[in-house]
Amino acid sequence: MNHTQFASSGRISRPRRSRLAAGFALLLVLAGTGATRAHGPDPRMGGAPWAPNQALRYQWRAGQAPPAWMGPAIDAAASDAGLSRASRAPTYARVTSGTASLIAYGEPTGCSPAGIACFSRAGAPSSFQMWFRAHGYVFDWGSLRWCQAQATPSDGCFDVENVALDEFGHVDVLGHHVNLAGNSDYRDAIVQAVARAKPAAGWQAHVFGPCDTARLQLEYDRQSPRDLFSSCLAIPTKLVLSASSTSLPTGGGLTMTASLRTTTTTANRALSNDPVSGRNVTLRRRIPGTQTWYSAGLLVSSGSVEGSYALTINPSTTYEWQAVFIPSSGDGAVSATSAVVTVTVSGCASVTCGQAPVMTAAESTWRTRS
Amino acid sequence: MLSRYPWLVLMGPPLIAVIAAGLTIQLTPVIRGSSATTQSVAMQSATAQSALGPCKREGGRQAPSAPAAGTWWRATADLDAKGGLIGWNVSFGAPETRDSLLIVSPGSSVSGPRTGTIAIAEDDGATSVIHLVRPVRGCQDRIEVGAQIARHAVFDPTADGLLVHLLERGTRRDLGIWFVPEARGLPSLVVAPVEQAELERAGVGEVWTTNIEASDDGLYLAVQSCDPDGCLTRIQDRRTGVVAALDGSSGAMVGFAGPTLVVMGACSGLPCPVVVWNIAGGPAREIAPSVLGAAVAGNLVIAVVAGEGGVPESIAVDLRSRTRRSIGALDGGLLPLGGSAAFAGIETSPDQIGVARPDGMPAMLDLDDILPLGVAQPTEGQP
Repeated sequence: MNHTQFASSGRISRPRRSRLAAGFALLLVLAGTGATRAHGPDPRMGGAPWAPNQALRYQWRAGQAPPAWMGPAIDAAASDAGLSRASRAPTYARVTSGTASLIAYGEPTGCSPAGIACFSRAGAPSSFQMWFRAHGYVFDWGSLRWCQAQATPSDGCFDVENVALDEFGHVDVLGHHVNLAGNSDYRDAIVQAVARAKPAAGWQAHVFGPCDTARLQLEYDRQSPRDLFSSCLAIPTKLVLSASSTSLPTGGGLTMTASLRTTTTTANRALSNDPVSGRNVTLRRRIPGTQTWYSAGLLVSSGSVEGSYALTINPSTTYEWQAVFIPSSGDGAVSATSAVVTVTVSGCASVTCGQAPVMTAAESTWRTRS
Repeated sequence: MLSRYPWLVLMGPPLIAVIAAGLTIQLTPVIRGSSATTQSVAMQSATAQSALGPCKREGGRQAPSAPAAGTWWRATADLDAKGGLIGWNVSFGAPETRDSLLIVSPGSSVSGPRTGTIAIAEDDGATSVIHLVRPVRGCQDRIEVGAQIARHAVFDPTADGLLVHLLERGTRRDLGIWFVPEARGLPSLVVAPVEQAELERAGVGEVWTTNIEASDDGLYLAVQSCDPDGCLTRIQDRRTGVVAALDGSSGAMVGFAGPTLVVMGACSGLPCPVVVWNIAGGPAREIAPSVLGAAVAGNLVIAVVAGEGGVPESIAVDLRSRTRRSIGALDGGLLPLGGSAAFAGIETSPDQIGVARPDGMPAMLDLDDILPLGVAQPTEGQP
């Protein structure tokens, strides 16, 4: 099989995963990887993390500066890493003087014999290193070709920007994504054991995939509580509903306040107990003793308290209240339902006093999932 | 120069590219003690060099070789103006000898030295040769492999010859590991090509590199078939010829310590743990986490690990007692040279290891001065 065929057909299935888990889990653990499930976040590399939003500077290693065709692609990948991190992972910028991490082209490298590029994050949280094999380096399957080195990139060449983004991901903290059998989820991560060569799907991907950003969010948190969780995550959330009063006269004002946060668990890592803002949190109600819920409206996200949602209403009678969070498509949060809060309405302060509660049009059609 | 294997030869002897002008590097690559400093390297002005001549033979056989600690080589990329790899500059030398430079094609690999000899497998796209460079004797021999592609060659400790990984030209199909005698004689298959089913069981895709490593006593031969995610490692017991695959994946080999194979973990970068397999059986066992480089000396593994705050530390792991101890930091950013190092090598005596300086030059490190340091700690239960 020549390399072009290989690149076009993608990787073979990877039964090693189960074998590793059964008989060689040690290596995975010792390689610094975290717990991983099928189609989950990329594993976590060992070594120290960077500080949130740490600005990392790099320069070309003296005597091993990348050729003119390669340098801009590495710089572009550094920019890609910052723009698509969806987290507080480090940012990268090249400098020409001062103390900085080093990126090198050609031998000697710190790469394993089968690597076309590699990195060292041993210097974290101070520095990193990165190496790229020279164009023309020979492997068992043939000669390495970088696409940028060719006037017309040929099939089988590797895109520098794609490979460099993979390396910046490693430097961040990312291990190789564990793909599903058949690699159907290959495009969900840039950080892969084998980069795809032209023209295989994804050979020119220049943004982190959702399973890359999932790990970055787990390790570095999101930039803002309003940011979506990576769709490669399933972050449990906790919704707490409180009432301004649990007993009020008919027609009295009632403010229902919901607090939406991620659960407090080590599995959520940096995302643990995070406020979750800007989501659709619905308030629903039912008559005590009944099973059917009716919508009472959308709780409005607070502008001042992250993860807080509120709605002021004037209930006509006693209800049981509950807040519901159902994440939108693309949000890696898990839906949550609050505990039931009963607010007793007593007395007679309006014309509806003594009548059955009025069902709104919305209530007649809107039923939530229990 | 004769072609000893006409059955393999497609072409006449290819040209040996030997630089006629280059740098002469005066190197005394011996480092002693934990606080040792690398002795100065004097880059002298270029002087014309001639190709090393063929080595003299005794009765048609190569003169016996003897250990030659300090014999070294270093490979640096030879790039064209656009950064394309057009060859390797292999500089080599030995104490008390004049250093030399050999330029070989991009598809070449270097191994050794062993008993003062460096093996360079070179393929020029049409034919392969193995250069046996003997700096102490100031000569070199060549074995013409011919039509097949010689990807890598290591010395066979049990016989006067090399263990060579061959690929079929054109298809680059794996042909396995062959014994190629230095003297006249036919090559023979030692380890069959890895089977696709075995690769698939191990989760290895297309093989990117094949690494070979022989134990010093010649009892074991390890063959790794690697993709970028890890390697399938097969071990041959040379006494019986039986080949068994180790269970699990690993990174590149560091070396043998008796019946123990020392390897890097299956990592995509550094740092990476060092793990060991007892060939007799049993699971892999980590002996050091967060390693930047490692080498084997007898039953010791010397490793540089990433310490707190990214500061490198050095440790010595005794594989027999399963203890390890800190030996402080190696001065000057030295890194141990493991078995699969692709860019440098140096022959050492049993109480030394090879190290690479930050500039890539190999040097020897005496262990006697550094091992008394530190308190032994059990390796079991280490994080």
